[in-house]
Amino acid sequence: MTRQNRMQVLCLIAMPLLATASPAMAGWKLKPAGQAAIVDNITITPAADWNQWTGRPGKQGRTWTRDGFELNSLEVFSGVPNGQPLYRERNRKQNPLPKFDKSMLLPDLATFFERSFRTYYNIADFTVNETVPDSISGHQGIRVTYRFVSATDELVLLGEARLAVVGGQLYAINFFAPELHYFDAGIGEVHDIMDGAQISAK
Amino acid sequence: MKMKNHSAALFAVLFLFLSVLSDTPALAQEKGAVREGFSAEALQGQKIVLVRPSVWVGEQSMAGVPEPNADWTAQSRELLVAELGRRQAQFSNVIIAEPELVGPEAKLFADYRSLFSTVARSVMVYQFFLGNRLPTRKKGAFDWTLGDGTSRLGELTGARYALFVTTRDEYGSTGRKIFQLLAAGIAGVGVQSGVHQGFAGLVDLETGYLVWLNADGQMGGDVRTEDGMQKRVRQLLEDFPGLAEEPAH
Repeated sequence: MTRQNRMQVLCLIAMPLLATASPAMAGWKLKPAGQAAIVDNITITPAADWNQWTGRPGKQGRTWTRDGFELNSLEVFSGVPNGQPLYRERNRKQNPLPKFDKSMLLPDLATFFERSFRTYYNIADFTVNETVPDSISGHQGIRVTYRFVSATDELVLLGEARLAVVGGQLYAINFFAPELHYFDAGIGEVHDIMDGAQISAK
Repeated sequence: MKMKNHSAALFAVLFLFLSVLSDTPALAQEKGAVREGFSAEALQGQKIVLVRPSVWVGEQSMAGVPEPNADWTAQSRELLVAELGRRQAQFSNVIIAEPELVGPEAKLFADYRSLFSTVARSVMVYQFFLGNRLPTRKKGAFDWTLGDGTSRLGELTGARYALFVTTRDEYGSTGRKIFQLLAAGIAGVGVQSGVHQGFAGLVDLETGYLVWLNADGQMGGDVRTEDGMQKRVRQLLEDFPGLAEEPAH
Protein backbone atom coordinates (compact mmCIF):
# COMPACT_ATOMS: atom_id res chain seq x y z
CA MET A 1 0.00 0.00 0.00
CA THR A 2 1.39 3.40 -0.99
CA ARG A 3 1.58 6.27 1.47
CA GLN A 4 -1.14 8.08 -0.41
CA ASN A 5 -3.45 5.06 -0.29
CA ARG A 6 -2.70 4.59 3.39
CA MET A 7 -3.65 8.22 4.08
CA GLN A 8 -6.88 7.80 2.12
CA VAL A 9 -7.83 4.71 4.15
CA LEU A 10 -7.01 6.52 7.40
CA CYS A 11 -9.20 9.45 6.39
CA LEU A 12 -12.04 7.07 5.53
CA ILE A 13 -11.70 5.51 8.97
CA ALA A 14 -11.52 8.86 10.71
CA MET A 15 -14.52 10.48 9.05
CA PRO A 16 -17.37 8.44 10.54
CA LEU A 17 -15.63 8.46 13.89
CA LEU A 18 -15.29 12.20 13.91
CA ALA A 19 -18.93 12.50 12.89
CA THR A 20 -20.03 10.48 15.91
CA ALA A 21 -17.56 11.95 18.39
CA SER A 22 -19.11 12.67 21.74
CA PRO A 23 -18.92 16.35 22.72
CA ALA A 24 -19.04 15.33 26.37
CA MET A 25 -15.45 14.15 26.19
CA ALA A 26 -13.72 17.51 25.95
CA GLY A 27 -12.19 19.49 28.80
CA TRP A 28 -13.83 21.54 31.51
CA LYS A 29 -13.20 24.82 33.23
CA LEU A 30 -14.72 25.76 36.58
CA LYS A 31 -16.79 28.94 36.62
CA PRO A 32 -16.93 29.84 40.32
CA ALA A 33 -20.03 31.19 42.07
CA GLY A 34 -20.25 34.93 42.46
CA GLN A 35 -17.48 35.71 39.98
CA ALA A 36 -18.27 37.58 36.77
CA ALA A 37 -17.43 35.35 33.82
CA ILE A 38 -16.63 36.82 30.42
CA VAL A 39 -18.11 34.49 27.82
CA ASP A 40 -16.81 35.98 24.58
CA ASN A 41 -18.78 39.26 24.35
CA ILE A 42 -21.22 38.59 27.17
CA THR A 43 -20.47 38.89 30.88
CA ILE A 44 -22.58 36.76 33.21
CA THR A 45 -22.35 36.15 36.93
CA PRO A 46 -23.51 32.75 38.26
CA ALA A 47 -24.74 32.31 41.83
CA ALA A 48 -23.45 28.73 41.98
CA ASP A 49 -20.42 26.90 40.58
CA TRP A 50 -20.79 25.86 36.93
CA ASN A 51 -18.60 23.93 34.49
CA GLN A 52 -17.73 25.41 31.11
CA TRP A 53 -17.09 22.93 28.31
CA THR A 54 -13.88 23.75 26.43
CA GLY A 55 -15.52 22.82 23.15
CA ARG A 56 -18.07 24.99 21.42
CA PRO A 57 -21.62 24.15 20.29
CA GLY A 58 -21.28 26.85 17.64
CA LYS A 59 -18.53 29.17 16.49
CA GLN A 60 -19.77 31.95 18.77
CA GLY A 61 -21.20 29.66 21.46
CA ARG A 62 -20.23 28.28 24.85
CA THR A 63 -21.94 25.64 26.98
CA TRP A 64 -22.07 25.49 30.75
CA THR A 65 -23.50 22.69 32.85
CA ARG A 66 -23.76 21.78 36.51
CA ASP A 67 -24.48 18.05 36.33
CA GLY A 68 -23.94 17.13 32.67
CA PHE A 69 -25.45 18.29 29.39
CA GLU A 70 -28.49 16.03 29.70
CA LEU A 71 -29.42 17.35 33.15
CA ASN A 72 -28.77 21.06 32.73
CA SER A 73 -27.29 22.98 29.80
CA LEU A 74 -26.76 26.70 29.63
CA GLU A 75 -25.70 27.92 26.20
CA VAL A 76 -24.39 31.43 25.57
CA PHE A 77 -24.03 32.70 22.00
CA SER A 78 -22.41 36.07 21.54
CA GLY A 79 -22.31 37.82 18.21
CA VAL A 80 -23.45 35.34 15.57
CA PRO A 81 -22.81 37.29 12.33
CA ASN A 82 -25.15 37.67 9.42
CA GLY A 83 -25.26 34.53 7.25
CA GLN A 84 -23.91 32.18 9.93
CA PRO A 85 -25.71 29.35 11.77
CA LEU A 86 -26.24 29.39 15.54
CA TYR A 87 -24.75 25.92 16.05
CA ARG A 88 -22.06 23.97 14.27
CA GLU A 89 -23.19 22.08 11.20
CA ARG A 90 -23.46 18.34 11.90
CA ASN A 91 -24.87 17.20 8.59
CA ARG A 92 -24.66 20.09 6.15
CA LYS A 93 -25.83 18.05 3.15
CA GLN A 94 -28.84 16.21 4.55
CA ASN A 95 -29.89 18.41 7.46
CA PRO A 96 -28.40 21.90 7.13
CA LEU A 97 -28.80 24.50 9.85
CA PRO A 98 -30.65 27.75 9.10
CA LYS A 99 -28.49 30.86 8.76
CA PHE A 100 -29.01 33.98 10.84
CA ASP A 101 -30.17 37.02 8.88
CA LYS A 102 -29.67 40.41 10.53
CA SER A 103 -32.93 41.66 8.97
CA MET A 104 -34.94 39.04 10.91
CA LEU A 105 -37.84 40.45 12.92
CA LEU A 106 -38.42 39.24 16.48
CA PRO A 107 -40.97 36.53 15.50
CA ASP A 108 -38.48 35.30 12.88
CA LEU A 109 -35.90 34.85 15.64
CA ALA A 110 -38.20 32.39 17.42
CA THR A 111 -38.56 30.32 14.26
CA PHE A 112 -34.83 30.54 13.60
CA PHE A 113 -34.08 29.33 17.13
CA GLU A 114 -36.57 26.45 16.93
CA ARG A 115 -35.21 25.21 13.60
CA SER A 116 -31.60 25.58 14.77
CA PHE A 117 -32.17 23.74 18.06
CA ARG A 118 -34.21 20.93 16.53
CA THR A 119 -31.68 20.37 13.77
CA TYR A 120 -28.58 20.47 15.95
CA TYR A 121 -29.98 18.14 18.60
CA ASN A 122 -31.91 16.02 16.06
CA ILE A 123 -35.21 16.39 17.92
CA ALA A 124 -38.46 15.10 16.45
CA ASP A 125 -40.84 16.05 19.28
CA PHE A 126 -40.49 19.79 19.99
CA THR A 127 -43.12 22.35 20.99
CA VAL A 128 -42.81 26.09 21.51
CA ASN A 129 -44.91 26.91 24.56
CA GLU A 130 -44.64 30.69 24.45
CA THR A 131 -42.88 33.52 22.65
CA VAL A 132 -42.96 36.90 24.39
CA PRO A 133 -40.97 40.16 24.23
CA ASP A 134 -37.97 40.28 26.55
CA SER A 135 -34.46 41.70 26.53
CA ILE A 136 -30.78 40.95 26.99
CA SER A 137 -28.57 43.64 28.52
CA GLY A 138 -31.23 46.27 27.81
CA HIS A 139 -31.57 45.33 24.15
CA GLN A 140 -35.03 44.44 22.92
CA GLY A 141 -35.47 40.78 22.09
CA ILE A 142 -37.68 37.77 22.71
CA ARG A 143 -38.07 34.95 25.16
CA VAL A 144 -38.95 31.49 23.85
CA THR A 145 -40.11 28.79 26.24
CA TYR A 146 -40.26 25.28 24.85
CA ARG A 147 -40.62 21.58 25.56
CA PHE A 148 -39.05 18.58 23.84
CA VAL A 149 -38.54 14.86 24.24
CA SER A 150 -35.07 13.32 24.19
CA ALA A 151 -34.73 10.50 21.69
CA THR A 152 -32.41 8.44 23.91
CA ASP A 153 -34.54 8.08 27.02
CA GLU A 154 -37.86 9.57 25.90
CA LEU A 155 -37.44 12.09 28.69
CA VAL A 156 -39.39 15.36 28.66
CA LEU A 157 -37.18 18.44 28.90
CA LEU A 158 -38.12 22.11 29.20
CA GLY A 159 -36.16 25.04 27.90
CA GLU A 160 -36.07 28.80 27.88
CA ALA A 161 -34.08 31.00 25.53
CA ARG A 162 -33.62 34.75 25.19
CA LEU A 163 -32.49 36.17 21.89
CA ALA A 164 -31.66 39.72 20.77
CA VAL A 165 -30.01 41.32 17.75
CA VAL A 166 -27.37 43.88 18.69
CA GLY A 167 -25.32 45.70 16.06
CA GLY A 168 -26.55 43.29 13.39
CA GLN A 169 -25.33 40.25 15.34
CA LEU A 170 -27.31 37.66 17.26
CA TYR A 171 -26.96 37.21 21.03
CA ALA A 172 -28.70 34.35 22.81
CA ILE A 173 -28.77 32.62 26.17
CA ASN A 174 -30.51 29.25 26.27
CA PHE A 175 -31.20 26.89 29.18
CA PHE A 176 -32.75 23.42 29.08
CA ALA A 177 -33.17 20.62 31.61
CA PRO A 178 -35.48 17.66 32.38
CA GLU A 179 -39.00 18.67 33.39
CA LEU A 180 -38.76 16.45 36.47
CA HIS A 181 -36.81 18.32 39.17
CA TYR A 182 -33.92 19.73 37.13
CA PHE A 183 -35.67 22.54 35.21
CA ASP A 184 -37.32 24.00 38.30
CA ALA A 185 -34.12 23.52 40.30
CA GLY A 186 -32.13 25.59 37.81
CA ILE A 187 -34.40 28.16 36.20
CA GLY A 188 -34.38 30.62 39.13
CA GLU A 189 -30.62 31.12 38.96
CA VAL A 190 -30.72 31.09 35.16
CA HIS A 191 -33.25 33.96 35.19
CA ASP A 192 -30.83 35.94 37.38
CA ILE A 193 -28.00 35.13 34.96
CA MET A 194 -30.10 36.22 31.96
CA ASP A 195 -31.31 39.39 33.71
CA GLY A 196 -27.77 40.35 34.71
CA ALA A 197 -26.06 39.53 31.39
CA GLN A 198 -24.03 42.41 29.95
CA ILE A 199 -23.20 42.59 26.27
CA SER A 200 -19.90 44.33 25.67
CA ALA A 201 -20.11 44.53 21.87
CA LYS A 202 -20.28 47.98 20.32
CA MET B 1 9.68 14.07 5.35
CA LYS B 2 6.76 16.41 5.13
CA MET B 3 4.49 13.44 4.36
CA LYS B 4 5.90 11.57 7.36
CA ASN B 5 5.06 14.49 9.68
CA HIS B 6 1.59 14.63 8.18
CA SER B 7 1.08 10.92 8.84
CA ALA B 8 2.32 11.28 12.41
CA ALA B 9 -0.06 14.17 13.04
CA LEU B 10 -2.99 12.25 11.56
CA PHE B 11 -2.14 9.19 13.63
CA ALA B 12 -2.00 11.38 16.75
CA VAL B 13 -5.42 12.90 16.02
CA LEU B 14 -6.86 9.48 15.21
CA PHE B 15 -5.49 7.98 18.40
CA LEU B 16 -6.98 10.77 20.47
CA PHE B 17 -10.44 10.34 18.96
CA LEU B 18 -10.33 6.57 18.92
CA SER B 19 -9.17 6.49 22.53
CA VAL B 20 -12.14 8.60 23.48
CA LEU B 21 -14.61 6.64 21.41
CA SER B 22 -13.43 3.16 22.18
CA ASP B 23 -13.32 3.51 25.96
CA THR B 24 -9.70 2.42 26.08
CA PRO B 25 -7.89 2.47 29.42
CA ALA B 26 -6.78 6.01 28.54
CA LEU B 27 -9.86 6.96 30.52
CA ALA B 28 -9.92 5.21 33.88
CA GLN B 29 -13.43 4.46 34.99
CA GLU B 30 -15.20 3.80 38.26
CA LYS B 31 -18.21 1.52 38.09
CA GLY B 32 -20.08 1.90 41.31
CA ALA B 33 -20.71 4.27 44.18
CA VAL B 34 -22.65 4.57 47.43
CA ARG B 35 -23.97 7.82 48.86
CA GLU B 36 -22.14 8.93 51.97
CA GLY B 37 -23.97 7.80 55.08
CA PHE B 38 -25.89 5.03 53.34
CA SER B 39 -25.29 1.39 54.22
CA ALA B 40 -26.99 -2.01 54.28
CA GLU B 41 -28.22 -1.19 57.80
CA ALA B 42 -30.28 1.70 56.44
CA LEU B 43 -32.10 -0.80 54.26
CA GLN B 44 -33.10 -3.13 57.09
CA GLY B 45 -36.84 -3.68 57.24
CA GLN B 46 -37.46 -1.32 54.32
CA LYS B 47 -39.62 -2.19 51.36
CA ILE B 48 -38.11 -1.79 47.86
CA VAL B 49 -40.19 -1.36 44.71
CA LEU B 50 -38.59 -2.89 41.63
CA VAL B 51 -39.39 -0.45 38.84
CA ARG B 52 -40.12 -2.05 35.47
CA PRO B 53 -36.72 -2.30 33.74
CA SER B 54 -35.83 -0.15 30.78
CA VAL B 55 -34.45 -2.35 27.97
CA TRP B 56 -33.16 -1.44 24.51
CA VAL B 57 -31.45 -3.91 22.19
CA GLY B 58 -30.35 -3.34 18.62
CA GLU B 59 -27.51 -3.30 16.18
CA GLN B 60 -24.67 -0.86 15.56
CA SER B 61 -24.13 0.10 11.92
CA MET B 62 -20.66 0.44 10.40
CA ALA B 63 -20.56 4.14 11.29
CA GLY B 64 -21.70 3.38 14.85
CA VAL B 65 -25.33 4.43 14.39
CA PRO B 66 -27.73 2.41 16.62
CA GLU B 67 -30.65 0.61 14.95
CA PRO B 68 -33.34 -0.90 17.21
CA ASN B 69 -34.38 -4.56 17.03
CA ALA B 70 -37.88 -5.09 18.46
CA ASP B 71 -37.57 -8.89 18.71
CA TRP B 72 -34.28 -8.77 20.60
CA THR B 73 -35.64 -6.05 22.88
CA ALA B 74 -38.80 -8.02 23.73
CA GLN B 75 -36.80 -11.19 24.30
CA SER B 76 -34.27 -9.45 26.54
CA ARG B 77 -36.96 -7.71 28.57
CA GLU B 78 -38.62 -11.05 29.22
CA LEU B 79 -35.32 -12.65 30.23
CA LEU B 80 -34.39 -9.71 32.47
CA VAL B 81 -37.72 -9.72 34.30
CA ALA B 82 -37.47 -13.50 34.79
CA GLU B 83 -33.91 -13.29 36.10
CA LEU B 84 -34.67 -10.41 38.45
CA GLY B 85 -37.63 -12.47 39.71
CA ARG B 86 -35.36 -15.45 40.31
CA ARG B 87 -32.88 -13.29 42.26
CA GLN B 88 -35.61 -11.66 44.34
CA ALA B 89 -35.40 -14.27 47.12
CA GLN B 90 -31.74 -13.37 47.70
CA PHE B 91 -32.55 -9.82 48.78
CA SER B 92 -32.74 -9.26 52.53
CA ASN B 93 -35.58 -6.80 51.92
CA VAL B 94 -39.14 -7.17 50.81
CA ILE B 95 -39.14 -6.51 47.07
CA ILE B 96 -42.40 -5.55 45.41
CA ALA B 97 -43.08 -5.18 41.70
CA GLU B 98 -44.11 -1.88 40.16
CA PRO B 99 -47.90 -1.85 40.46
CA GLU B 100 -50.09 -2.10 37.36
CA LEU B 101 -51.16 1.51 37.03
CA VAL B 102 -52.91 3.49 34.32
CA GLY B 103 -53.15 7.15 33.35
CA PRO B 104 -51.01 9.83 35.01
CA GLU B 105 -49.65 7.47 37.65
CA ALA B 106 -48.34 5.02 35.05
CA LYS B 107 -46.80 7.97 33.19
CA LEU B 108 -45.13 9.15 36.39
CA PHE B 109 -43.35 5.81 36.75
CA ALA B 110 -42.35 5.92 33.08
CA ASP B 111 -41.03 9.47 33.47
CA TYR B 112 -38.90 8.55 36.48
CA ARG B 113 -37.62 5.47 34.64
CA SER B 114 -36.41 7.82 31.89
CA LEU B 115 -34.96 10.29 34.38
CA PHE B 116 -33.10 7.51 36.16
CA SER B 117 -31.47 6.38 32.90
CA THR B 118 -30.41 9.95 32.14
CA VAL B 119 -29.04 10.57 35.63
CA ALA B 120 -27.20 7.22 35.72
CA ARG B 121 -25.60 7.91 32.35
CA SER B 122 -24.60 11.39 33.57
CA VAL B 123 -22.95 9.84 36.65
CA MET B 124 -21.04 7.46 34.38
CA VAL B 125 -19.93 10.14 31.91
CA TYR B 126 -19.31 13.09 34.23
CA GLN B 127 -18.18 11.41 37.45
CA PHE B 128 -17.12 7.79 36.90
CA PHE B 129 -14.93 8.62 33.87
CA LEU B 130 -12.14 10.20 35.87
CA GLY B 131 -10.68 12.01 32.86
CA ASN B 132 -14.01 13.69 32.19
CA ARG B 133 -15.08 14.43 35.77
CA LEU B 134 -16.72 17.83 36.10
CA PRO B 135 -14.67 20.36 38.11
CA THR B 136 -17.67 20.85 40.44
CA ARG B 137 -17.45 17.13 41.24
CA LYS B 138 -13.68 16.91 41.69
CA LYS B 139 -14.07 16.25 45.42
CA GLY B 140 -15.66 12.97 44.39
CA ALA B 141 -18.74 13.00 46.65
CA PHE B 142 -21.51 10.82 45.23
CA ASP B 143 -24.32 13.35 45.30
CA TRP B 144 -26.95 12.79 42.62
CA THR B 145 -30.71 13.08 42.77
CA LEU B 146 -33.95 12.44 40.92
CA GLY B 147 -35.56 15.18 43.02
CA ASP B 148 -37.89 14.84 45.98
CA GLY B 149 -40.88 14.38 43.67
CA THR B 150 -40.04 10.67 43.96
CA SER B 151 -41.99 10.70 47.25
CA ARG B 152 -45.12 10.25 45.11
CA LEU B 153 -43.76 6.86 43.99
CA GLY B 154 -43.40 5.98 47.67
CA GLU B 155 -47.01 6.98 48.33
CA LEU B 156 -48.23 4.85 45.43
CA THR B 157 -46.30 1.75 46.50
CA GLY B 158 -45.66 1.99 50.23
CA ALA B 159 -41.96 1.48 49.51
CA ARG B 160 -39.12 3.56 50.94
CA TYR B 161 -36.70 2.73 48.14
CA ALA B 162 -36.95 2.08 44.40
CA LEU B 163 -34.60 -0.14 42.42
CA PHE B 164 -34.21 0.99 38.80
CA VAL B 165 -32.55 -1.15 36.11
CA THR B 166 -31.60 0.00 32.61
CA THR B 167 -29.83 -1.95 29.89
CA ARG B 168 -28.87 -0.77 26.43
CA ASP B 169 -27.16 -3.15 24.04
CA GLU B 170 -26.02 -2.33 20.51
CA TYR B 171 -24.51 -5.40 18.90
CA GLY B 172 -21.86 -4.66 16.28
CA SER B 173 -23.08 -5.39 12.75
CA THR B 174 -20.89 -7.30 10.32
CA GLY B 175 -19.91 -3.98 8.71
CA ARG B 176 -18.91 -2.57 12.09
CA LYS B 177 -16.80 -5.63 12.85
CA ILE B 178 -15.02 -5.39 9.48
CA PHE B 179 -14.45 -1.69 10.16
CA GLN B 180 -13.03 -2.63 13.58
CA LEU B 181 -10.62 -5.10 11.96
CA LEU B 182 -9.56 -2.56 9.32
CA ALA B 183 -8.92 0.11 11.93
CA ALA B 184 -6.85 -2.32 14.00
CA GLY B 185 -4.99 -3.81 11.04
CA ILE B 186 -4.24 -0.66 9.07
CA ALA B 187 -4.22 2.13 11.60
CA GLY B 188 -3.22 -0.03 14.56
CA VAL B 189 -5.89 1.45 16.80
CA GLY B 190 -8.89 0.01 18.61
CA VAL B 191 -12.46 0.80 17.57
CA GLN B 192 -15.36 -0.24 19.72
CA SER B 193 -17.81 -2.63 18.13
CA GLY B 194 -20.98 -2.76 20.15
CA VAL B 195 -22.28 -0.90 23.19
CA HIS B 196 -23.33 -2.79 26.30
CA GLN B 197 -24.50 -0.33 28.93
CA GLY B 198 -26.11 -1.34 32.17
CA PHE B 199 -27.28 0.75 35.10
CA ALA B 200 -28.80 -0.43 38.38
CA GLY B 201 -29.59 2.15 41.01
CA LEU B 202 -31.34 2.41 44.34
CA VAL B 203 -33.22 5.64 45.04
CA ASP B 204 -34.43 6.86 48.42
CA LEU B 205 -37.99 7.80 47.55
CA GLU B 206 -38.31 10.21 50.48
CA THR B 207 -35.47 12.42 49.28
CA GLY B 208 -34.90 11.42 45.64
CA TYR B 209 -31.20 10.77 46.30
CA LEU B 210 -29.43 8.02 44.43
CA VAL B 211 -27.97 6.02 47.33
CA TRP B 212 -26.35 3.17 45.39
CA LEU B 213 -25.42 2.85 41.72
CA ASN B 214 -23.73 0.39 39.41
CA ALA B 215 -23.12 1.90 35.97
CA ASP B 216 -20.90 0.43 33.31
CA GLY B 217 -20.66 1.11 29.61
CA GLN B 218 -18.97 -2.23 28.91
CA MET B 219 -21.13 -4.86 30.60
CA GLY B 220 -20.83 -8.56 29.88
CA GLY B 221 -23.45 -11.18 29.08
CA ASP B 222 -25.43 -11.60 25.88
CA VAL B 223 -28.81 -10.27 26.97
CA ARG B 224 -30.54 -12.28 24.21
CA THR B 225 -29.81 -15.57 25.98
CA GLU B 226 -30.74 -16.93 29.40
CA ASP B 227 -27.13 -17.59 30.45
CA GLY B 228 -26.03 -14.19 29.19
CA MET B 229 -28.82 -12.46 31.08
CA GLN B 230 -27.84 -14.26 34.30
CA LYS B 231 -24.34 -12.89 33.89
CA ARG B 232 -25.66 -9.41 33.15
CA VAL B 233 -27.92 -9.34 36.20
CA ARG B 234 -25.08 -10.67 38.37
CA GLN B 235 -22.99 -7.70 37.21
CA LEU B 236 -25.83 -5.23 37.62
CA LEU B 237 -26.51 -6.27 41.20
CA GLU B 238 -22.87 -6.68 42.22
CA ASP B 239 -22.24 -5.09 45.62
CA PHE B 240 -25.92 -4.35 46.18
CA PRO B 241 -26.19 -3.75 49.94
CA GLY B 242 -27.49 -6.84 51.72
CA LEU B 243 -27.81 -9.03 48.63
CA ALA B 244 -26.54 -12.61 48.88
CA GLU B 245 -23.72 -13.19 46.38
CA GLU B 246 -24.33 -15.71 43.61
CA PRO B 247 -21.39 -17.83 42.55
CA ALA B 248 -20.19 -17.06 39.00
CA HIS B 249 -20.99 -19.83 36.55
